[in-house]
Amino acid sequence: MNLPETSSNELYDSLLPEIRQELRNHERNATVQAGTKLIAQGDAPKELIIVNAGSVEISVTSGNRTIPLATAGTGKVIGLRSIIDDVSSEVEVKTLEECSVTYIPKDRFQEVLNRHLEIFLAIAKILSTDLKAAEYRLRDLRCTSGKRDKDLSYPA
Amino acid sequence: MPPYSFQIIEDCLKCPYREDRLFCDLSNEALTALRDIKATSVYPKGTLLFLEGQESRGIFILCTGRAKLFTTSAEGKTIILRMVEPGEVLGLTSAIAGAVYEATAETLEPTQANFISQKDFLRFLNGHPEVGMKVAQQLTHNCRCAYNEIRSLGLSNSVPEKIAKLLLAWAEHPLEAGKKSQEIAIRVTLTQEEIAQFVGTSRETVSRVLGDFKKKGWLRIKGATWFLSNKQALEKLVTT
Repeated sequence: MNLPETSSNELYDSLLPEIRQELRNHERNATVQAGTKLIAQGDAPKELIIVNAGSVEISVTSGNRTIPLATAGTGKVIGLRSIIDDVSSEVEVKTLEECSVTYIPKDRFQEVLNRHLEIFLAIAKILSTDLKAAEYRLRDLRCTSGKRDKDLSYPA
Repeated sequence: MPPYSFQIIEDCLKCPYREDRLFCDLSNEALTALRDIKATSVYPKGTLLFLEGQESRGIFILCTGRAKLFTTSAEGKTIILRMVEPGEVLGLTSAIAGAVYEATAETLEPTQANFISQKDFLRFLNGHPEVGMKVAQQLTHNCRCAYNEIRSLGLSNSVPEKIAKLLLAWAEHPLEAGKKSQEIAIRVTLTQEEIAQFVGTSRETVSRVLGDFKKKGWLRIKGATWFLSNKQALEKLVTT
């Protein structure tokens, strides 16, 4: 599989060419197999991940149960929230097919971020979109749970 | 005697809560710029700050009081998406995207809020990169809350579990007065109908479950003050 250059993604598209170049200096490209867990829920990602080709599923899990949130493809940037807040991921991201991805180490990304605070504005736009998607999912769940949720039982 | 039970804070630089609140913990320079573009108002309970589908006018920074963010389903059912606490910003995603408001915001109690028009906010954001950082942190917080809600709602097995989770979440911010006793005192400004809209069930079911909790001696309700008498029992209900 050829590894395309990270020319267009939801983060780089909003950045100045010189900032993009700084980030490119820290990139590492890879091909990952279908079914690979790029981010595990509860883990603190050590890298920012950009999907260059292929598709991934974003979901929340509890035990062996999973709620799919979204399917994302080329240009999706994963791991931003954990990088900003230094907290573990609340979601799981798994490849649905063979994917070409770019990794940027968290500490390197943070160095560039500290030099160019304007990157936060680009990040805010991405998080804004992620939040909207999450709220739509929440709306669906709240809407349907009333119909199916008749269980008033208590655990033994 | 002010008509509301709180002191109105006009000057963000003098706000005693500024350092504790995610969005407000800005440099003096940024806060001075913010002071010049904000309009402070006090709203009574039940005020609609903005409506779902309305063109974005700007953002509201909640200084005092709480609000609910809700939407309406195709069947006309009200669905509460999120409770908004003091220090949080309302209308952020729509202001950034230049899109319509995705939900309606209604105050749950007398509320002081600072309004900033969309044009001024975007100019403020571009002129002060540290504000972009605060916005990103606020959105990170909101995303985390939404994902936790999705997990809670989608993976909870029963209505008692969902209501127990809600009570335990509220118990993370107990009333001062209740801190000394064995019980945890919380202030609940939501009606049973609104709790139903929040957990995705009917008011009758909420009433039945709360009645059950009271009968078991886990909960005591005195007006808007609720007492969690057996937190452990509620925690045992939570399986996810």
